[in-house]
Amino acid sequence: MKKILMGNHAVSYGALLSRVEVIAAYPITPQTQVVEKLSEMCAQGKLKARYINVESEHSAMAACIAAEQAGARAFTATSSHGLTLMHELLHWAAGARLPIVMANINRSMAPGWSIWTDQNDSLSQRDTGWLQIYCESSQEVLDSIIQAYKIAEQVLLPVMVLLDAFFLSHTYEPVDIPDQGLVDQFLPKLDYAYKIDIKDPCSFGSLLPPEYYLELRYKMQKAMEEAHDVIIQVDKEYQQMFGRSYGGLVEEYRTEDAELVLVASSTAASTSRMVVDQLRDEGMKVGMLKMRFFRPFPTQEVINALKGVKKVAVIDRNISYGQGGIFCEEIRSVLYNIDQHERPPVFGYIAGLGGRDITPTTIREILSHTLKEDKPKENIIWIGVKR
Amino acid sequence: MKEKDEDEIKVVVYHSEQEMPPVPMSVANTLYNKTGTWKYVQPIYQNKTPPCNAGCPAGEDIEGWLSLAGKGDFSEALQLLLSENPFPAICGRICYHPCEKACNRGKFDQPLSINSAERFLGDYGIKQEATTSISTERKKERVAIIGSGPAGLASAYHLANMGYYVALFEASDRLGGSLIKKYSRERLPAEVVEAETERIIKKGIEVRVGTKVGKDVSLESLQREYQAILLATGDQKSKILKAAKGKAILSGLEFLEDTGVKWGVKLEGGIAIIGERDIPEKEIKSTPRIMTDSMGATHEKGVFACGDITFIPRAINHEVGSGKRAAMAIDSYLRGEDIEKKLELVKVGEGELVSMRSYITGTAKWVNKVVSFDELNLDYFEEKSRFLTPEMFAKGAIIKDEIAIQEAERCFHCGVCTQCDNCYIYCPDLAIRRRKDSQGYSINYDYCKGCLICVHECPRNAMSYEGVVK
Ligand code: SF4
Ligand code: SF4
Ligand code: SF4
Repeated sequence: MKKILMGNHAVSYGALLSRVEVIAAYPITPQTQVVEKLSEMCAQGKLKARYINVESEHSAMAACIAAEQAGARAFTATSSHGLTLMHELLHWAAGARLPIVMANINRSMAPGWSIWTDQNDSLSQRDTGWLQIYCESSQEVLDSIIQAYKIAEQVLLPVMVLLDAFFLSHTYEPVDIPDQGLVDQFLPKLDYAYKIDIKDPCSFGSLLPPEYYLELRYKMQKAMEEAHDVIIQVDKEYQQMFGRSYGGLVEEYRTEDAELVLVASSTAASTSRMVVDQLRDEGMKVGMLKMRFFRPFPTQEVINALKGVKKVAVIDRNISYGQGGIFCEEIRSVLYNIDQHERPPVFGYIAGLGGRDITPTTIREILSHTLKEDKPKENIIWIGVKR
Repeated sequence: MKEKDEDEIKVVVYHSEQEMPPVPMSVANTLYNKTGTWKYVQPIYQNKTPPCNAGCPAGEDIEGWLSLAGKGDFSEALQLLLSENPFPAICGRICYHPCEKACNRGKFDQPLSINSAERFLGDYGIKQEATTSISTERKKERVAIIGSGPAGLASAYHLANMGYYVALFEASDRLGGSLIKKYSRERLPAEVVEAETERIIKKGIEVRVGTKVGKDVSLESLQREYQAILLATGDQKSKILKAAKGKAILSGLEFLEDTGVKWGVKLEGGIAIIGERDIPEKEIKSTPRIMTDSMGATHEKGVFACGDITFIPRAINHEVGSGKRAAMAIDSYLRGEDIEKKLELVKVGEGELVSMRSYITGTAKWVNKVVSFDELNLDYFEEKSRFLTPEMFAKGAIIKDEIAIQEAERCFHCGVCTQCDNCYIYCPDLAIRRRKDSQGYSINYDYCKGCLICVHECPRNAMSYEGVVK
């Protein structure tokens, strides 16, 4: 069944179809419609979940942690300052190996206050142990929520599904809503092996002395590594059942013979796709690598896509102050160890912070700059700064 | 629920990450970790004396009977009250209730309406024709009590409860002494005095009204017939005080003259001298008193005194307490025991008040330390003004049970564990356990780390602490 949905409601439908059992959330622009819709679904009895109103995002995540620890499938959604307020508990959820799924609407951090998009909120949660999926369309959002539970519950790590504020969260698109029966087959009821059991009481998250801490962190990293194959497998299964695939961790678009590969994520990937088509029509050998997963980082996929190409241009709608675009830095880093002859120069562009539009013109500017230069002159190439 | 052996130390050692669960969770228990070694202070679980109890000269366990009344168990509450004081309906009307002045709740909102609650229970007892049990052990010794005022009656009551044969000699034709002479009928109706006196007499006490010792029967003959004699003749106002220079000597007691007291009027340790106790000078000068030790023994072997004839403030509660002390002294004397040795045990608080229950059972419910207002954790209490007031006892008014219950429920139970479970719940080391016999809790000092959270969270200071343990 197709419906015209805003990105935020695609999140809600994803959670509904995943039969989440506990929702604890605090409203924040531009996430509000996600939880409004979910509370409506609960009130109407469409979704049999316990909806917990909490007083902050910190509490929202705490409630999700407790629910998941009790064996319930938990969900929350937030944005920006809400996400960063959760920061401590993001570590907790991952460290406790709880397969929680949340949606985060990418919104810039204040000050100055901004309700518009960029990725600094979620990318600054990079090291918390959450998987991150950056989505391009409402359809991908809905599908990714369902996939996220399947992945999370296999590797026992939480997953964050990300959407650009307004560009995706508030844009209406036709979305195919899969059949509940099929989703149930794809995603059975959660059976969390380490849930609280009053018949066999034990404590969770208590003191872990130096002789064991390292081992548990080792296992967490192993789970992240294992997630790589799980993500691909889950995406394949999803395609078999629902006819849609997102390529697993990344999607290569027209990269076969590309001499210049543009790397993009989220809605910028969608615009890039269009520009790549235009330039191809104009006879230029360009392609795009869409970064769908940021964690686990698709190391092998990035190497496969970029090794041997002449030039790489990365668009970052985010910045790590004192260094540069965050995707760009990680891409450079995974290319470092490949053979020198195959290693392309990587141009790092920063554009669109705080919701500044990344238009086809912006992308064309980026591509022509990359074609013009042999090597990047600066670590960061700023796009659109009024100087 | 699976019963886990609480005391079994279980330790798991992993040799590789593969053996470990991915989740930081407990797989053994923490008993190997004796957190008790960390402490330098430790909690003590110990009932302490509630200030109301320490403020009641009759030695009642006020907190105890309020606790029972608060549960709606009036008959048990009454029994507990009667175990210390046979006159709840009388005291509930005429006692000046220093207990209420001592009540910690007074510093919070209003003191407990102890006196009114006592009257409620006393009247309940009269209506129910409540009786109290007496010892099954019949003792062979006989005790003569001279005077049937509240002190004499209280003493007779306790001695009869202990199984002694008691004869009560009253010069007038009615029992009650000051109870019938001193108070207006309105304040203290004759039926109330009769009912509570009757309950005592029914214990098999031989009553000899209209019998004046010294005239109708000689003291010597009593001394031959009875193994102990208790002088409870009350305030002998008519008697003359002969004052020597610098010292006042009491010898004009009609009673003493009548009996021809061969045991003499002596200055030191003898029968009648003025003491230095806190009795107003005026009162002492106007009324002769008999010197006794703190428990009522005179210097004459086998002769005891209690009530207004001794050095006590003249009020019903003090008289009841005095009668009780004399009963204990007589019992100890007859058993050939030294009452002084039991004093620490029977004391309520730090003064002269005594508990008959502690005396009979040989165990005290509390240590003598009295809990002060500052030692309570007031976070656990809500302000609530009195439900029951003396004004509510207008003529014929019926006090609903719920009112008495609600009033009793206001009690903080200062110093006395109510098994509220706070300490048990809050102890982070699970060092506090409920006792299997339901008699409160025990502290496992192997694991108590001395954080004193239990002490802080105890609303009533039944958990306190001692410093520096090694
Ligand atoms: S609150 Fe209760 S226990 Fe405390 S002093 Fe008052 S009557 Fe006694
Ligand atoms: S709360 Fe427990 S550990 Fe702390 S002092 Fe009390 S008994 Fe000891
Ligand atoms: S906290 Fe409650 S249970 Fe513990 S000692 Fe105090 S009154 Fe008793």
